[in-house]
Amino acid sequence: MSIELRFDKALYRRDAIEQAIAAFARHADCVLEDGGQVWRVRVEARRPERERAIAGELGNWALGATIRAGGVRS
Amino acid sequence: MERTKLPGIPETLAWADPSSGEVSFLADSTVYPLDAVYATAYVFLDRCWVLLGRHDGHWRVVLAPKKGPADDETLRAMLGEFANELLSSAWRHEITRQNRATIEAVVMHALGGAMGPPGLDELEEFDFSSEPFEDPLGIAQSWEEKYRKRTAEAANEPPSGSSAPRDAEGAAAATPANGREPSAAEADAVAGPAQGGDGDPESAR
Repeated sequence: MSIELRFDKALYRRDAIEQAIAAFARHADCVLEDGGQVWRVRVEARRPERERAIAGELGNWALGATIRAGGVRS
Repeated sequence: MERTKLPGIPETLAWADPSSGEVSFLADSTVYPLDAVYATAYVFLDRCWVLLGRHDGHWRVVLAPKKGPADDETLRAMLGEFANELLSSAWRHEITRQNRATIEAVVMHALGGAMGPPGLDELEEFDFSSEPFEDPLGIAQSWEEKYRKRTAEAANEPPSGSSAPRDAEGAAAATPANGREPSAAEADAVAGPAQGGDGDPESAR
């Protein structure tokens, strides 16, 4: 069981997504792929009952890091 | 994916997904700038899982509460708060855009004042020979400059009132009425008795 997150390239920075993946590496196996207009991240948590929460927090982390970096255009 | 309408909100703008406990919201990208969407999303990061996307000229926002029930009423309330905050952020963004020049000028003045008085090294390097600033009211004028100016003006003033006859007498004494050059005797008489007949002060003693 895994969850796939899709991050629009016009809204999310790749380095922010990588930062988020690194932050949750202890809790889940995350794979980043280029999906054309989106970055695809497959999240597979070590504890399946925590998968939804980890995927949600990973998305928040990527969004927060993108915003703190001034968005995609900067 | 299950898609249900939220009461009071057009389904084309927002809908809920009870199976995943999420609500989706579309915001017109011509009305709401991306910076406003970012600012609003940032406020909600502590209580929701937020995912941004794009859909047909709109920003798509997916919200899911981290804690508590994800029923329609909760999702609708959360969506309403997000929409209000988004409108507020968009307006603040617009005000900032309109007042950017003023804000920059005020900040520059504040930073300039915060730097404090110049040090001795800076004063040594300061060019005091540069042109002074405009001072139409003479506020920056020193007392000496002001006093000297008045004295000079007084000396150049034309005679008026009771002083006129005295000046006229002096002028008549210095210059004969017929306009010829004064003789040596006349010049001595004007200069006074301290000088001798040949005009040499030494010989007068």
